[in-house]
Amino acid sequence: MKKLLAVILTLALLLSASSVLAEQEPATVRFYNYALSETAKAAWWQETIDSFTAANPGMNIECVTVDYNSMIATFTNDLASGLSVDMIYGEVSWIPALVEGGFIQEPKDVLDPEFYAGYYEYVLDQMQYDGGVYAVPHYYTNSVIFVNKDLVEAAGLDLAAFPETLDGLKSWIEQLAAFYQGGDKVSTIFGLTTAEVPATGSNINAIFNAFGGQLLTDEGKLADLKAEPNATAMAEMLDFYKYLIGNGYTQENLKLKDYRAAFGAGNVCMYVDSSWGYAQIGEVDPAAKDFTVTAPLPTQMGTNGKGESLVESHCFLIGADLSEAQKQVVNLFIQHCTTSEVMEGYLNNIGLAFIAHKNMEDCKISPILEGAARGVSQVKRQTQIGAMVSVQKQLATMVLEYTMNGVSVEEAVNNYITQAEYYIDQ
Amino acid sequence: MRNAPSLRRAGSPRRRKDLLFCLVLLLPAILLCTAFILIPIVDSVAMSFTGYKLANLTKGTPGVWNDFGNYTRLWRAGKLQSAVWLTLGFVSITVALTFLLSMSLALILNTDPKGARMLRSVMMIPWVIPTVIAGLLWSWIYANPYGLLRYLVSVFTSGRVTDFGILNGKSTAIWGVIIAALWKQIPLMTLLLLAGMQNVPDDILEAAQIDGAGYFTRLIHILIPYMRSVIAVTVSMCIIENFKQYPLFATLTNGGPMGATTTLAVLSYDEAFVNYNYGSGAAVTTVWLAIMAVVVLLFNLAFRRRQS
Repeated sequence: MKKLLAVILTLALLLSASSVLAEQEPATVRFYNYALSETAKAAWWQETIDSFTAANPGMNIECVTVDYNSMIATFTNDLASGLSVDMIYGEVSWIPALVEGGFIQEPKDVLDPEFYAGYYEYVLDQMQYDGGVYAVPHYYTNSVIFVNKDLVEAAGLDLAAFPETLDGLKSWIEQLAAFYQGGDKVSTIFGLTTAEVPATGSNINAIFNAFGGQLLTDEGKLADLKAEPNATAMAEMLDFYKYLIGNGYTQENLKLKDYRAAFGAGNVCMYVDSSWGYAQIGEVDPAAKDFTVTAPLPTQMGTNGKGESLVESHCFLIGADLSEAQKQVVNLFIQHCTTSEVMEGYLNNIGLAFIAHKNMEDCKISPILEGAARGVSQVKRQTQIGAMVSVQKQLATMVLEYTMNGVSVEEAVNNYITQAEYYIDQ
Repeated sequence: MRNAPSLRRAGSPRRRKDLLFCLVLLLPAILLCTAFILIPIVDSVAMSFTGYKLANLTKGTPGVWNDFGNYTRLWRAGKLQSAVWLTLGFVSITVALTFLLSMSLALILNTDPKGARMLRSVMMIPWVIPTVIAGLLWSWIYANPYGLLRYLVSVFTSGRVTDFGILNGKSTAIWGVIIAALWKQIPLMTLLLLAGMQNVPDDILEAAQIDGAGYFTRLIHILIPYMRSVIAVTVSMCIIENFKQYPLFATLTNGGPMGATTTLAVLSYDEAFVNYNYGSGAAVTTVWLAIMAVVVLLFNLAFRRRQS
């Protein structure tokens, strides 16, 4: 009897010990983050992750460093080979594909409701797809004009009187062109990207919105581009590109990275980009902050345009199959990354951008972005669709066909509609 | 009746043992080829007839038969025809130029000029460099407004053309890729042809020379016929290499401008990995594979006929 009792007690002890051990087993989250493959951001991310895990014993973040272009292919392969994808650092345009692939879940089911309510609605709106909000923004940008203040002021222009209309902007462009004509100091007066790559597509779409157009309906279909106000916005936008390229104020088929490099080298007077494009400008010349300022798009662009652009955001996407312990890690980690203390250095030195959550309201934004800050909420909501990348990329093709190939506005738009519908209806 | 002895031989225990032994030796290769080449090809062809999206892949659900929908959709949009012609054009021009330039270089090197050994070593550099890196190097050369090519054009035109961007124009972009492909592929073909050339017996060439045959007569009637098998292999390799050329297009043009360099390789990638329509991507791949097989087959048939 004594022996039996001893055995039972021993077993009970073992069971209780194992349950305690199980409780203390650290929860690990596999975090797919392309930013870790970028030199400028990797150290900041590692430091942030280290400080989080140090402050939260038992919570682990296992980083998976993936090149930006290989992210979705990597998830697919990893999931197929039985690995979990718990948290992703990505972009808004990825949402449709990730939702359709069953990769991600709605953050409202994971984050504390009080914290979730702190996100700015007009930014969160952009994360919608198929009736749900499938990501939370880390920070965001709209389209801003980077201005080389030295070049502009040398031409006798006053930055305090930055143009607020399209005609005013053209007048500045022409004055700058006249001032720098014949010299080899300035390669671009006003840069707009037209290379057929995804980043250019979203940039052109933002310009189309600034002219008062809207590419997609709320239902995710192609908007009627031949009806007003889209028809006027499209014609005016195409004419603006033709004006810039035809007069040599901008070069055709350049990528944003080309403009960033040229701007950093001090050869560009102005160009349109996302705020975080400054990271590459600063790589070319760390002293670029001395001559770089920003401005919002003019609030009067053509007949109907109010200079509104689209939100671009780096965001957190949350894996579909998380345990409760993993959800808690994700919840706390996102909150950790959304504080003024953690983000101020990043937003000022690494990826210049605007805050997207009330918890970061104490964050001072970079002086470079001060000029553009007055247009920060000049954004329109855009429905996300699976074929967004290709639909937007075709805009660059349309612009090149019109500006370089001598195609009429009508033909360029018709060709665009055919191509865009091909991708949307797939 | 003629087959009787051989049948008897095939039926003999010794012969059966040999066959079995051969089969055992071949088994790993057969298994690997089946697992990694044959099954994926069959799977890809089957996928091309279905609607197969990202969700099918991640959830392990099969694609749904869509009545040749992937093919008809690509055809109606004109994407397939355009990509096929562009691919055929790119392959024809690149293979022809690669062969002509490689043959010329091999003929020069075969005369053993001064510094030939060093030249042969230097020539290996483009071949050794990974294609993606080669693409990036050429993208810097072609870059606008800071590229070397733009500068050279500006210098040689005495400043009349200052904004030349070879990859920017619809009609010039493909030539930008062709130049990079030639730079990458000529070295290997030159060395292979040179190796073939050096196996041509000297005594025959000398005899022909004594008989009064000129340089071109010897080239056409002795050298090239002797090198026929080497030429067949190198040109076949070159055709296949250029049919599947993707890295140079991805790094230099990404299919643009205005679709001017959207070959079957680029179209397949765009459909499958940009738009996540794997069925459509597989349809392009199937057409691509079929055309490549037909072209290589026709080339080999033509070559064999001339040889016979």
